[in-house]
Amino acid sequence: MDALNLTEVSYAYPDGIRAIEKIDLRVRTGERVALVGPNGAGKSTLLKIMAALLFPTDGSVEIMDEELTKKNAERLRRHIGFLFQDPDDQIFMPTVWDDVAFGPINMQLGADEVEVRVRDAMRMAGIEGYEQRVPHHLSFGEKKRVAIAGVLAMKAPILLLDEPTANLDPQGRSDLIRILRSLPGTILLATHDLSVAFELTDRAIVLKKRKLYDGDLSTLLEDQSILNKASLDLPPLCKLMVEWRNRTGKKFAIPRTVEEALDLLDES
Amino acid sequence: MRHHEIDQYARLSPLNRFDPRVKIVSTIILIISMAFLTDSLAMLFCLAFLMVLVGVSNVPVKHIVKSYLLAFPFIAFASLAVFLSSGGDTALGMFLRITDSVLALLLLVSTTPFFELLKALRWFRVPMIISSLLLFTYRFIFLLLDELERMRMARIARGFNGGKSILRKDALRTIAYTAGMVLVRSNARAGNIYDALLSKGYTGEIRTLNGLRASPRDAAFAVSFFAVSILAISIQIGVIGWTL
Repeated sequence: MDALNLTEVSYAYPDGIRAIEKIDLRVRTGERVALVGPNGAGKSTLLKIMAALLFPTDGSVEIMDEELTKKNAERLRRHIGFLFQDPDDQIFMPTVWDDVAFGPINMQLGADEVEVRVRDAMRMAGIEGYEQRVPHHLSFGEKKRVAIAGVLAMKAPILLLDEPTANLDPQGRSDLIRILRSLPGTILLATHDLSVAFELTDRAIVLKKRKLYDGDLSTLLEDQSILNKASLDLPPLCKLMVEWRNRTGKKFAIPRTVEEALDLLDES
Repeated sequence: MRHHEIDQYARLSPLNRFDPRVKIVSTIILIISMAFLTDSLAMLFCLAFLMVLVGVSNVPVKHIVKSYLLAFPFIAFASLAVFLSSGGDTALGMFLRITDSVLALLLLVSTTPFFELLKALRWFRVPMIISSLLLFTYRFIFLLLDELERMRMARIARGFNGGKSILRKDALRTIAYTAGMVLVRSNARAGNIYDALLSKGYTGEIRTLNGLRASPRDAAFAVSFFAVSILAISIQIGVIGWTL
């Protein structure tokens, strides 16, 4: 089953600026995909189209094998959990509990089910004990966790994450990555940080208004021309290992983690 | 940045345990009855009742006084206008009447969480658009204040010092640009917020899980307000004085 299937999707803003052009994309259920590209590449626009928040000016979108139309958008949105880049755009209820419960209540679930979902989501996001806290008094990292809990409480089978680690400190970033790694279901995350993609996904789609690359993340690391076109930079570890490979003439796939790099060094 | 929190005392107040609908109705009854009062003694009686409630509410008197002082210039101006046209007694009556009404409303909003008030308003069939607007204004006013503060810092960091007098042409221009930028940013944020609402299943109604439920204790609360209103009116028409 396809979680998402986009065919020749284009989108132009009302002022005529084309954000994305002729994107073909297929994401299978349970797959984890990184949507990478520079700022202004159309990543957020594409995510909003997949979340049924924007409608393409051309092309078609299928969510869970059902074609998106304006009539069924409200229903199809239930399949999607959308994490916004800025949690202040996403959190609007007066207390953390109310905000996390907002989605399940809109799904018209019973009180007991809402209670269970909110507790589970808050536990997974690591914000137990924050129930009565006022969201706008929280730090950015805490707000991000509240936003994630709000998405998790809806138990949507597809999660779309827009720059999930943006503006987080190193501890907040690693905490968030740990949470995201533990999540089930289909995950599609937009980022311009390849190191985040490394830690969460195997497949990468490079976007710069058009789709430049769709395939294995490890293969992308070897394709300098695509990386240059999309203004993407290899993480420091990868750069180091590429430089070492060039100097020694050894042949190996670029490691994605410190452990993989250490194994290579040990072997040599 | 930390801002003053509207609910900072409401959740801890013993008066929070009462049904917000009952509190709204009781407060309105008291304010309407005070509108008919001209006798200063009757108004002082209401003031004493409200002071007792402030005492048991656990809301710091300093907080009530600070909030009251925001309204004080308007109260003083209205009383002064009446003093000039109708004399001291009427002005004192006007001063006490508005003070009582403001105090009653302050007590209501200081001891009731904002969201509970909105739920009660919805129960009274206040249109959804108004209660939603109030909710989002309350939530996002702080974000806009933050944006204003960030822009103020950015101006200062780049040498702007025209804020000392709005009569300076460059100061006016910069302030106008700032206001425009806040509008643009607010508009962009409003779009994002709406998308976030849609993605969480919003269809025009802010749904809540906990319904409102009145108990005999709430009836006692309403009766106390009603009794004070009757007593104040009795003092006004001389029934109490005649009986006593």
